[in-house]
Amino acid sequence: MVMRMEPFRQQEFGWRVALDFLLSGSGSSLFIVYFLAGGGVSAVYMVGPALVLAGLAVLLSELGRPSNFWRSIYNYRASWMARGAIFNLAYTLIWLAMVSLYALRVGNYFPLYAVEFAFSFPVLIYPVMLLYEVKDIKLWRSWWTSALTLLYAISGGSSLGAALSLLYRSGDQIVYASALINVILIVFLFVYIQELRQKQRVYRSVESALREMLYGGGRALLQLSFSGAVVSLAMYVIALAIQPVALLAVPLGAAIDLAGVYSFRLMVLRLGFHEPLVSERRLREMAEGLRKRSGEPQ
Amino acid sequence: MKYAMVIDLTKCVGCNACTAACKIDNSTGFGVKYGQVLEVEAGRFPDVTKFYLPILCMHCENPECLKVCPTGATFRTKEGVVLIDRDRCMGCRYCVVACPYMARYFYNDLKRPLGVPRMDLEDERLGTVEKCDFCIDRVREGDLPACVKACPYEARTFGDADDPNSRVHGLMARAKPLKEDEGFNPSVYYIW
Amino acid sequence: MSQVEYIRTTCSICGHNQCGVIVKRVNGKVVEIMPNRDDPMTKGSICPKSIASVQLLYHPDRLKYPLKRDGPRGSGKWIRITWEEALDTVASRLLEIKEKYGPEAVVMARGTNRGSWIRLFNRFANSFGTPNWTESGGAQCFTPRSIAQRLTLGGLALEWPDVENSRTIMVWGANPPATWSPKSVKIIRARSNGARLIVVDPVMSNMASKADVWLPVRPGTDVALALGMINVIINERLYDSEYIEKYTVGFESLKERVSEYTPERVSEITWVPKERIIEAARLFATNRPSSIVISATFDEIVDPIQLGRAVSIISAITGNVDVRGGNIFPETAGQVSIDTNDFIMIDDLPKELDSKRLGADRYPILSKYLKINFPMAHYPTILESIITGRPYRVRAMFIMGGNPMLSIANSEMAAEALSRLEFLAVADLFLSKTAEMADVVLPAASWLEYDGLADSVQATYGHLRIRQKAATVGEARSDTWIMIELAKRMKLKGFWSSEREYLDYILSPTGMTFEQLRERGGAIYHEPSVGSRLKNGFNTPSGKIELYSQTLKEWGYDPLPFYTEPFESPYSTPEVAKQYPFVLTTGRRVSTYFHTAQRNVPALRDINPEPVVEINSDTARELGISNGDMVRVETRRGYVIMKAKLTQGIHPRVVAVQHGWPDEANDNRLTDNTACATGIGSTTLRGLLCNIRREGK
Ligand code: SF4
Ligand code: SF4
Ligand code: SF4
Repeated sequence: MVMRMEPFRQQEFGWRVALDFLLSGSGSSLFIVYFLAGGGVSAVYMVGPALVLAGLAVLLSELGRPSNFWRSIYNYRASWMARGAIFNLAYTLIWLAMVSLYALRVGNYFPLYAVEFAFSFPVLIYPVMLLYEVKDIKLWRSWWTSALTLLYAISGGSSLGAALSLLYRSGDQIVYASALINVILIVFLFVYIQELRQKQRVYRSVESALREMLYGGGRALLQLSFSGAVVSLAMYVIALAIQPVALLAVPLGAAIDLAGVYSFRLMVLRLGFHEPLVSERRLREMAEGLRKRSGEPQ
Repeated sequence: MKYAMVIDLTKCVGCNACTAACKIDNSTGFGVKYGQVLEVEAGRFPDVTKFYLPILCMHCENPECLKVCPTGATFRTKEGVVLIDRDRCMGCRYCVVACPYMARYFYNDLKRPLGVPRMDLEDERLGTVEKCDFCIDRVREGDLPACVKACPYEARTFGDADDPNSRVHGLMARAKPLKEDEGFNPSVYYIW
Repeated sequence: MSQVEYIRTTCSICGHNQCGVIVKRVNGKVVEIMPNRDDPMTKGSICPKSIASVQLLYHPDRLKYPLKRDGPRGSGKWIRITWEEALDTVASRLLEIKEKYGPEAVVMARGTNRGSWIRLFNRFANSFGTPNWTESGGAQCFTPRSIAQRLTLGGLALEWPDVENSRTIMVWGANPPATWSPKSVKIIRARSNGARLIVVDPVMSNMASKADVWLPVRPGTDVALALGMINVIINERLYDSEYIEKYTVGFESLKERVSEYTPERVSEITWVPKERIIEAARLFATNRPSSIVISATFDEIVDPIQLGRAVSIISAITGNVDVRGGNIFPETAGQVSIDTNDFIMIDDLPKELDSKRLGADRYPILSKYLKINFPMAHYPTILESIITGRPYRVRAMFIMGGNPMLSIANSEMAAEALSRLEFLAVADLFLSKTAEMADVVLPAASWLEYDGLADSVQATYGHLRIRQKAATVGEARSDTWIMIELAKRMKLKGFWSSEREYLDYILSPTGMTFEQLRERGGAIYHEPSVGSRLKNGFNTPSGKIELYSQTLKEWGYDPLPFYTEPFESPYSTPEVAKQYPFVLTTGRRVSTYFHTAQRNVPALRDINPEPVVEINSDTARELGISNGDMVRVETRRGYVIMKAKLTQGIHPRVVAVQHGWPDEANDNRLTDNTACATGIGSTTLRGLLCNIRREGK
C-alpha cells in the first residue's frame, strides 16, 4: 500500500537563522582562536566581532519587526533568540569600545580583549542552546548534534583564522590547529552518521524524517558538510607540506570549510523531527472507513 | 463551555472554499494558512482511495504550544479557545516547533509570486506567530467561523461541545480527533 | 456605528451565473461573500473564486479607466481617456474597417461570460453585420456537446441532471467540486443519502475521490468507453425495452454498431479494467433512476459530437431521459429566452455572409447556420486568416472577456496574429496578456459591480435571479452597458437605450420590471415540467430520441456513433509515440481558478501557488523525478515546465497538466490547432502525446 500526504508545514528556522549561526559562531571562535594563539595584528582582532555584528543584523532581519528586539531583551532568559540578541549586542558594544580606543590610540585596551574573549563563549554556545531546548525534536536534542554544532563553529573560526594569518605571516600554528579540528570533526561526523542510523531504528515514528535525511535532500547537505571538512583538511595538509601554495590552498580550504559549516547548520535546522500528523495506521483506517461511506445523511 | 468543531470527511471534497474564506476573513499574509486542506491517498493504481483532510488549530485542552511559550503570549480562554496575544509574542517560534498539529505560522516573509499584490494585514503581524483563533471575534458576535460558514457541503459543524443539545455535541459521539491518545485533548473532531 | 448590509445576489465568477450568494457590506465596503443556503436552487453552493472576489474587487491592478495605447503595439505605454472617447474610437474604427474591407473583416470574440450576455454578444455581432462571431471556448466548450444533444435528444438534457432524485449518478469528464459547485453540492447530498457514484476521469479528481466506481479512461478515448458500456447494457439486456420502443428510433442499427465494442476490446482501447466497465454499466442501468453529469471533455476530444451522442444514448436506452432522477430538459422561468435564433437576430445577417464565415467550408457544423446551432467562426481559422490573408484578411477584433493569448490552442500563433491586427479593442478586468496587445482597453465590471439578471443558457434555466450592484471600481462598467453604448454609437438595430431597458425587455413576459422583481425578492423559481417530452414528443425531426440520426446522415456524416483514435496516440501514431511515449491531457482544473483568470488574487494563489503536472509515482521513480521537482513536459509543438505531483491516482502512462497558467507553464504551447475534429473543428486538448523529464528542483 502506497500512502501519500503532504502537509504544508512551515519551516520554523530557515536560511537566515543558519546564516546567523554561521556568522556568530565563526566570528566568536575566530576571536577565541586568535586570542589563544596570542599573535597577529590588532586589526585582525576586529574581524571576529565584525562577523558577530553581521550575525546580529541577520538575526534582526529574522525578527521581522523592531519591537521584537526590545521584547527579546526584556525576556532575556526566555529563548535562544533573546539570548542571541543580547549576547551579540553586548559583544558588538565591547567591540565598538575596542575600535574607538584603537582608533584614538589611547589607553591599554588589552582588558577589553579579555572581556571580549570571555563573551565569545556565550555567543558561541547560544545556537546549541536553541537546539537543545526544543525537546520535541529528537534530532536537535541530542548530545551529538550539540557537540557537532559547536565543533563546526570552532572549525569555521579557525579556518578563517588560518586564512587571515596568511596576511600577517603569523605562522602555521593556526593552520595546524584548523587541520587538527577538521580531523576531530570528521571522526565525530562519522560516529554521528552511525548514530543517526541507530536512531532510525529506535524512534519508529521519526522514521520517515530520518529516511529523508539519510537518503533525500538532507543527505546532500550532510554530504556537503562532510566533504567540506575532508577537502579543507586536504587543503591544509597540502599548504603545510608545500609552503609556496599555501597562499592559495589555505583560503580555498577555509572557504570550503565555511560552506560545509553552513550546510550542516541548514541541515540541522531543516530537519526538525516532527511526528507525522496522522499515523499511517490511522490513515489507512480512515481510508477504509471512507470507502464504506458512513456519512451522516442530509 | 467548550467550543468544538466536527468535520465530516465523507462530505469534504477538497474544494478549498474554507481555506479561501479563512484567508479573506482573517486577512492572512501569503503563505500563512490558519486552515488548510490536505490530500491523502492510499493504494495503488487503479485501486486508489483518496480523501481530503481539512486541518486547523485543534484548540487543545492541553496545548503543547502554551507550555513552551516563554512570554506568555499564548493563552487559553474560558471558551476553550487557544489564542495568541500579538503584542506579547516575540517571534521565537518555540510554539511552531512544539505544536503537534502543524497549526502555527511565523510570519516574516514578504515573498509573493510576480503580479500578486499585498492585500492583507501583513504589517502588524510581521515577526509574530499566528494561527487559527476559531474566529472568536465572529463567534462572540453570534456568527459562525468563516470556514464553517463557507463550506458548501456543510462538512463542518461548530458549536458548544458542553451543551448536550448542540449539533456538535451529538456528532462528537461518533467522531474522533487526530492523535487522540497523546493527551492533547483537541477540540476538532473528524467523522469518517 | 458601522452600517452592515446583506445583499442577496448571484455569483458569476465562472460565467455559469448560478450560485446564490450573500454579500456582506460594512460601511459601503464589501467584506465577505458567503453562500446563501436558503437559495432553493443552489442550496448554498459556492467556491473559493467567489469567496475571494472581495480581493478581485479591491485588487490594486484592476483597470479603472479606459485606456488608449500610446506607442507601438505591446509597448506597454498607455494614456487614460474618457469613456466618450473610448467608445467613439471603438465604434468609428470598427465601422471604418467594415466600410473599407467588408463586415467580415471585423471579428467579435468573447471569452468569460461575466454576466448573462453571451447571446447578447451574438446579437451585437449579427446586428453589426459580421458573420465572424466566435468564442475562445467556441468549438472547445459547450457548442459541440449542445449540438450532439440537440441532434440526439432534441434538447440539452445532459446539462440538466436531476441528481437529487437519482440513485446512480455518472459524472463523465467533469470535476464539479472544482468547477461547478451547485452540481457538486447536489451530488454530495445525494451521495450522503445513498446514491451511487460513477466517475469517468483519467485522474483521481476531487469528484473521483467520492466515487463508488472510478473509470480511469485513457484521455481521448471516452467514446469507446461509452460504446463499450452500451454494448454491455445491450448484451446483458439491461436496457428499458419499453422506453426504447416508445421513445427512440434506430435501436436495431445501434445494436449492430456497438456489437464491435466488446468490453475486452474497449478495455484495450481505454486502459480501463474490463470488470469496471461492466460494473459501471450494470450499476447505471439497474440502479435507476440514473443521471449523467457532463462537462468540457465532451468538447475537447478528437470527435466530440460522437461522445455527446454516445453518452446521450446511454441515458436514453436505460430510460433516464425526461424522467425524475434522470436527465431532464431545461426551461426558462418565463422570461424572454436568450437561447434562441430569434434573440441573436441571425436572420438579420445577410444570407451570403453565412458562407463567408471563417471555417464554414471545413467545419460546417460549427460555422454554418444549421438551425440547431449558433454558428460561429472557427478560432484557429481566424488566426490563420489574419496571418496569411486567406481566404481574406481579418483586420480588426473586438474581444470581450477573453484571453486568447493564453487560452486557445497554439499560443505562439495567437500572439503573432494579434500583433498583426489593424485594430484591437479589449474589454477586461485587468490588463491581461491579450489586453496588452490592444489599441483601446475598456475597463469591465466584475459580477459585484452591476445590476443584472443571472440568466444563463447552461445553468439557470427554470430559475431566474437578479444580480445586484454591491460596489463600484473606478469607471468600470458592465459588458452589457458597453455593448449597448457601442450599439447606440454605431446605430445598430435591435438594441436598447439603456441597460435597465434591456433587463426590462428580458423580463417583459413575466409582467415585471427589474425593479419590481428586485422588490419581490429577486428570484423566480419554476419547477421543470418533467415528462412533457415523453407526452408531446421530442424536439427532433422524428419526434423521438434519435439513436440513429437522420440529420447527421443528411449532412453527410455517420448516423451512428463510432470511435476514432485520437490524432496522436500510441496506436494511431506509433512512430511519434516512440519519442513521446506518454498520453497527455490538459484538462486538469483546480477550484481556485477559472481558466486563465485569478492567478493574481492573493488568497487564491496561496492555495494553488504553482502550476502542477500529475504523474504516476512509479513512472516518476523510473524517470528520477521526485515530488515537487520541476518537470519539462514536451510535445511535438512545444514544452511547458511545471511542478511534479506524484500520485497513484493516474495511469502510469498518462500525464495531466493544469490549464491556464501563463508563460512557460502555458499548456497551450503543447496543443495543436491544425488537426481539428470533423465537422465541428474542436482542437484536441485531451489525448495528445508527450514526453516528460526532470528539469530541476
Ligand atoms: S469547504 Fe468544505 S468541502 Fe470544501 S475543502 Fe473545506 S471542508 Fe472540504
Ligand atoms: S493545535 Fe497546536 S497551536 Fe493549536 S492549541 Fe494545539 S498545540 Fe496549540
Ligand atoms: S475557525 Fe476561523 S481562523 Fe480557524 S480555520 Fe476556520 S476560518 Fe480560519
